[in-house]
Amino acid sequence: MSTGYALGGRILTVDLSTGSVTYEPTQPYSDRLLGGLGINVLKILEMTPVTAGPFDEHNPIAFGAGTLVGTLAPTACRVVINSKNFFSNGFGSASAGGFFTAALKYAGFDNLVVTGKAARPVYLLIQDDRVSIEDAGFLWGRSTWDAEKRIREKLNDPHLEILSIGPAGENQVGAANIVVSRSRSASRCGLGAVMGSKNLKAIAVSGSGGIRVADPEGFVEACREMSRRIVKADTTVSLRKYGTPTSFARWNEQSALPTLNFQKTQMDLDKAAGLGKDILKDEFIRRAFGCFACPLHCSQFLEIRQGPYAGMPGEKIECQNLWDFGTKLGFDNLAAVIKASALCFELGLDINNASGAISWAIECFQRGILTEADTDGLVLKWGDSDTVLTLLKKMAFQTGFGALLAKGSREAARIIGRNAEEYAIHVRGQELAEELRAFKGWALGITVAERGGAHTSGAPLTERMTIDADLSCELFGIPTASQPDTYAGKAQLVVYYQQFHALLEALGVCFFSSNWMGPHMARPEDYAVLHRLATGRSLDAPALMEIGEKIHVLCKLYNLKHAGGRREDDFPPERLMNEPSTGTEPGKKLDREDWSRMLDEYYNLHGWDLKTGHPTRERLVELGLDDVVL
Amino acid sequence: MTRIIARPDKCGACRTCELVCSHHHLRLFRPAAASIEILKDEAAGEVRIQLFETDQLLHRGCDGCSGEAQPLCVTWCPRGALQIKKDKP
Repeated sequence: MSTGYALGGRILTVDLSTGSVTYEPTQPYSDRLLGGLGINVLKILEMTPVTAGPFDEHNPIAFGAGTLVGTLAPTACRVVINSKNFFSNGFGSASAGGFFTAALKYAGFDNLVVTGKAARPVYLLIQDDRVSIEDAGFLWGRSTWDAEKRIREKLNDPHLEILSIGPAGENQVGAANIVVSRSRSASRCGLGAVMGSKNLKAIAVSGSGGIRVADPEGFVEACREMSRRIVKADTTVSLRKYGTPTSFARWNEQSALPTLNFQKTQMDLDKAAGLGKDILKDEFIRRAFGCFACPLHCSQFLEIRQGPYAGMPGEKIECQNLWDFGTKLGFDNLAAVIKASALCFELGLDINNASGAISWAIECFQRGILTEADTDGLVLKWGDSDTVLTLLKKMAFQTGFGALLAKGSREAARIIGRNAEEYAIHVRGQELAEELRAFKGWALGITVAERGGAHTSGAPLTERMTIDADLSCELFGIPTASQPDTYAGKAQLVVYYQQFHALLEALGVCFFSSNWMGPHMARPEDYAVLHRLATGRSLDAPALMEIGEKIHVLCKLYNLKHAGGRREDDFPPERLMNEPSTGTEPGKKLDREDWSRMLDEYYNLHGWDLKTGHPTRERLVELGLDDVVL
Repeated sequence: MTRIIARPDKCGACRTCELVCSHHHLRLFRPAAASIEILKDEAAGEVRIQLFETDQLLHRGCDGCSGEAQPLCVTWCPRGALQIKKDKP
């Protein structure tokens, strides 16, 4: 049983329709599923009526700090946000780093649930015990950056940590995200639009309390050991220097990046050279920052020093920004990528979903399916950054052609017809962000992700690493973790990472400190030590991984309850099974029969029915989840 | 007494120093009570480091990590942004 150690102590629920604020102890929930994602998914399963759509006032949105957040545990800083998914009506999930949840825990709260709908724009203010719903009339219509600045100025409190939505969230755009601490984003699933539907512009929190752990000396020593390992790792050195763009050139050389809406898998190498990490470092990076309690410091503060986009756009660019705007849309210069990324931060747009809808539109234009008559007179072509900046603004404000893009490519294609559906590359209705063809385990993890196509819900990175068979067996129970072309063993690898990712999102720890980033980084066993010393609960690594399994299954059950789910939904988009990879590693695609066998293995490992892909009653009883109301 | 020299230009603003400092004073993680405070201007990409030599509001005055071999903020900083300055006798 839980001890109360490492907890803020309470779950806060705010109903924006009635203005009511209620509190309940965290412990019954943390006893069962730790914190963060675990508690969030229990709350949204419990509270969401099956009749409620994403924008229904009775649809709750939950914000969770993990168990280790607020302590010295390296990288324990994440906020996990869950609600209904704009694209699927099923499970929605997004997370971010930064400083928000540390402040939430110091204010005495582990999770926050917001339901209802305010009659006018508001923001939620939490200053220790004082919780209030404040007028946001002066913030509505403003960018996330401007809104955050104005809240700080109004309250004159330098310790506030703020998350907010931009115009995209206010206007209920599918690609709307939630921007945290100005330069981190909780993206995918349109959760910014859910906030917008509630007239909730922002949440600001400050806390002056503290977090106590069960064994202070032992815990600090274990954190010191883990921190040293993280700082010494090769990946950390590279991440601090370049951020995740360090991987861009290598992934492109592997013909493994989404290019021109997945028509290709590699950007021409000479063009890609313009997006290289050394140009980024020499010409744009000013310094590196970290999130709360993080020793890695992978967040680069960027400055465009010259040219048409000159200015100080702020912090954070990921490898994904380079593939979303670079390979996918054809930008071949970094200034344009950085400018578009910064604009997305300001507008509150998720780069994956925004670039996905735009790349669909450009391909449709390329094929004559869309013309200037559809696009407000704009000529859509690959690599035209100025037009993309215009489209991002149109999307965020739902003006003209932007209103169609705001629905996401699947729905937009359905509306216009003309065979446009063939070019909408999505998983469960949400834009697919990642190229899949070269890496079979990566492809499986992304395709079966319950939130709809995402690489942070079970997809392994091991296929891009060199891990010998012995170490692979020791870590994952299969010898093939770093063999990209084989389907064998990949289901087991994905189940391992589904459990581990869910566990990390319950603990509030960044994946970058874990063996997701490299075989010598932290394993479940290491988190079992930290968890025991922090909470006083003796749960070993298998017990924690079983909690990860339970959380993953609850996400699945949420989907079954609210959106349904079929075996067919667990297959990748047709294009990736029919059209092979291009460039210097050509000819790779996903094979339907091999995939089907891998899927059988995946369902078997979870104890799910092979025909439907649904958990069996027996399996739910075994996991102790048969009491979950469906 | 051991004094700390802060180099805001090297600081990564992760606030690890606040965590270990508050733990030294109180055996709990409570940045509001630390003898050091990191204030980051997210828009400008700049950091200000405030050191509290005496008690101020909730902040405990720095005791140079009495009882520890070295000030913890110095040993834990992942960026070398905090260094020791010994007072002249």
